[in-house]
Amino acid sequence: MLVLASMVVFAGVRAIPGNPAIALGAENRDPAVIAAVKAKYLLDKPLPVQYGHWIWLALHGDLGVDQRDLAVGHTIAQRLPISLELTLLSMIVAVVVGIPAGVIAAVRRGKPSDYAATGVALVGLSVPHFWLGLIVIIWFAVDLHWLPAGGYTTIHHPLANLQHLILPAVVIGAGLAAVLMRQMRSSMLDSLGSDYVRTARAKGLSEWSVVCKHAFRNSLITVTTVLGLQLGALISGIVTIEVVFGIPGFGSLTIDSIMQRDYTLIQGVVLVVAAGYVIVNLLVDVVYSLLNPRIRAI
Amino acid sequence: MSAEPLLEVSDLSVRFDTDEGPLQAVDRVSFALARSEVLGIVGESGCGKSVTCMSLVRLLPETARVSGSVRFGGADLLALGPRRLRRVRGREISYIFQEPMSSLNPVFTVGDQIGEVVRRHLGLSRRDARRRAVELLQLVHIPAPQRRVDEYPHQLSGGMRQRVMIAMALACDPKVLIADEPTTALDVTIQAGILDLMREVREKLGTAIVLVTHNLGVVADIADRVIVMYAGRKVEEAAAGELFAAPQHPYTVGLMGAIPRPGERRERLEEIPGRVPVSSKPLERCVFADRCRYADETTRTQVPDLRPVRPGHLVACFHPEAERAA
Amino acid sequence: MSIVAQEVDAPRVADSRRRLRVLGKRFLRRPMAVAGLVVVLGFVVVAIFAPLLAPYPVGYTDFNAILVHSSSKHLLGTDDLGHDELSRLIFGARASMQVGVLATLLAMVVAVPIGMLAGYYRGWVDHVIARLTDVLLAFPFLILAVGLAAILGPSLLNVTLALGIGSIPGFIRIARGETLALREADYVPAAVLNGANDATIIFRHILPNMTNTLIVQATLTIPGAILGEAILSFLGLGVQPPNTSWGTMLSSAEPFLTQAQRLSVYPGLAIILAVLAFNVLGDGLRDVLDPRTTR
Repeated sequence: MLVLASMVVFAGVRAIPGNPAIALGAENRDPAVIAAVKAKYLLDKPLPVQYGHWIWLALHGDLGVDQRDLAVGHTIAQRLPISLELTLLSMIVAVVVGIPAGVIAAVRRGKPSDYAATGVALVGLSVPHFWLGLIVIIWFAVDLHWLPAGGYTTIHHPLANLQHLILPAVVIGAGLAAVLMRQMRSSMLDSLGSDYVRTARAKGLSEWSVVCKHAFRNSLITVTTVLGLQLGALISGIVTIEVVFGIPGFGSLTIDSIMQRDYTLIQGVVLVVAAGYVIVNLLVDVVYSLLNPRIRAI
Repeated sequence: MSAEPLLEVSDLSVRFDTDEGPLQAVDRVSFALARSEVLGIVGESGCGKSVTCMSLVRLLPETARVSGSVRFGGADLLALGPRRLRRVRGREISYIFQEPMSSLNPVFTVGDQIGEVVRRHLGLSRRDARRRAVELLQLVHIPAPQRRVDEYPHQLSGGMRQRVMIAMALACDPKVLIADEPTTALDVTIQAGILDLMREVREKLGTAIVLVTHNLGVVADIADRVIVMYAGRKVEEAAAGELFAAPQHPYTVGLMGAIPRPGERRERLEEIPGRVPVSSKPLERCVFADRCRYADETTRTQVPDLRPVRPGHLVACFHPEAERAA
Repeated sequence: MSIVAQEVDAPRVADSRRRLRVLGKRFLRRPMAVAGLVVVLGFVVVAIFAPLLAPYPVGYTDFNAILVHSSSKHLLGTDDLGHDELSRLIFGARASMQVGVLATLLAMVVAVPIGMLAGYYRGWVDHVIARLTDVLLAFPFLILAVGLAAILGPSLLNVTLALGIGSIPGFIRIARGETLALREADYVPAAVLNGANDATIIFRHILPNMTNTLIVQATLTIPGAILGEAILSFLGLGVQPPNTSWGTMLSSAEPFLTQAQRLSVYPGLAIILAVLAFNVLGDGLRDVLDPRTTR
């Protein structure tokens, strides 16, 4: 999986027009430098050889150097934690808002609270992240001066750090919460209409126990798989929101690398994304098997 | 019949509001259940027998409009507040469903699901609940109950699951057990085992049983008294022996014609022509008129009332067998 | 079960008209979906007749009215270059609709045959296609599109291509899944017994039965593409001036966030309205056409 992904990345990056050796050599047009670059990345060899060489170096932690002669691995290591923190905060927002909203909407199906939650979620799905980002900047930063309009402070100043990240996290989390809410609602409705919930009611269990134990546990199983599939959307959100808020994270690094056609950087960034995807899917599988005894038994 | 019935249903009607308009599923059904009695309710699928039973403890979805009364233990179950209703469900009246595959929650162990009932109704501790669960599994003849108690439903066969459902239903020693087609989804060989178990339950624990089925053979096997339902109405009621010996309603006669009997050679099983009518409101004629070979002007313009043709034998028909033969 | 049983007979032409009427009736009972359809049609009309509806032509600049508020001359005001905001919104609708619809069509035309091939023949073909789809799905749609747009260069056509290509994996997965399920349906062996060859089965039996799912998926892909266009244009990878899209409008409005918030608000609302309408319509269509996912 990861191997295939890395091959696609490599081929894709090589498809970008322009002479990679010149790009890698940056402004330095000295033929000697270009020759050295060519030699280091085996650029005069056929593509499969280049690929093998790149993977070999990548496995040893060397993702090469970018246009400004900075080690790609180092740059990524610097930027990634910022985005991971943002991801974590967004997920918290999404889960805290989306899951209960979905449960409540399902239980009160057809009542005003259901329509309200469903409607808000639909709007949440339809709002472009970056636009919502702009709007909250106008409200909270420009008009109200409550929070900074953008930028980033390291985790060493926790309060300032949180102040910078809370708006972006809410914006990303809102979109994700909408997805979660809709999924939670529909799988709760499935569970609530199921035979085993009818059994639970026939046993004389309290409504709380019927909803929050019997129906909820089963619904979580489907929601977990959907959450894993949302990784792409989450990364898209992180990328645009980091650009809008000027956060120097992995997302803005991604956009910068593509805009500047910085080959080694793009390769490194996308490799990390693919690895992240694999890791998240593993995590989802683990959680899934913890929740679902049918899988655990095997 | 004993003086004081355990459960008394009068004029029970159920209507569903569907997208296609209202649907009358049950139409003014009344019956009584005595202590330790096994009452069979038979009819084709869609005749309202399951809906009748589910409405007794109000398990129907919110779209159902239920009227009439269900007297049980000095209260009307249909008018009970949710809290008191929950104290009846699972403790006084328990329920076994048709689908043992989907009626157990896949993410909890068998022991959890049985224990849950006694913990809720009898306030047992987790440990005692587990012990009780093992006992109950033993009662329903599940081998190696100590091991099975920690297994998940998917690890059990269909017949075992239905036994678990029965164990769960018996957990609080209820007065009434409603079994809604408990054997329909099972293999024939396993069906007999489940029926034996239910008979045993009645004998050992004295539980009254309402057994819903479309299988007259099952009813003949175990029921004391039988109600025949057709298109949401009770069309005949009699003691089991009486009913099989002298069925009165042409529909009941037709149903019996459709059971294969060993030792009897017949070219083909008889079928009842036509379908069960689906009505949006109570009909102003005999519901069976369209399929009845004795249908006449009276049948098509008036509703036949339930009336006794013999002591304890009620039938809703203008032309019951007994009178036609005469 | 009874519904499935009825569908075992491949749908006959005589039935199809009545079926359509039933579906139409079911659709009309969903006010939200109908509202979505009306708004979508409204946007389509605006997109088609943009030159007639817009008060000012593309690229018209009013140097006497720069960053002015709404007036009778400029209903929604002007931007920093004196462009009429309303006219830009109307032409933006054209760009967004075009990208949304064309990208989705492109994805469908490419993906459906591939997905059906994989689902129908299975074996190694399926294996390779499924693996590749998984890999492509691993790349976030947006990064894929940004990368493609960077390779192709910024223009409306290239944005369409990028978003279309980006939507292919999702469609392949759906077409494959549907084909896998449908070829197990009872009427496939029945058709084989009647001497039908692969092509007949695929085109007569499988494709017609997955159109509902495809229609729903398309209705839900279009808003994704509209959002994608907005993001790409916002990042400067999309439509280039003097042509307009809602994304470019937002992009050019960003520096004036403090002075002229309305420049950011109007195009944003337009995007929300369009995307919302498509989403609501798609949800409604799914409820009507795809009984398996009734909620």
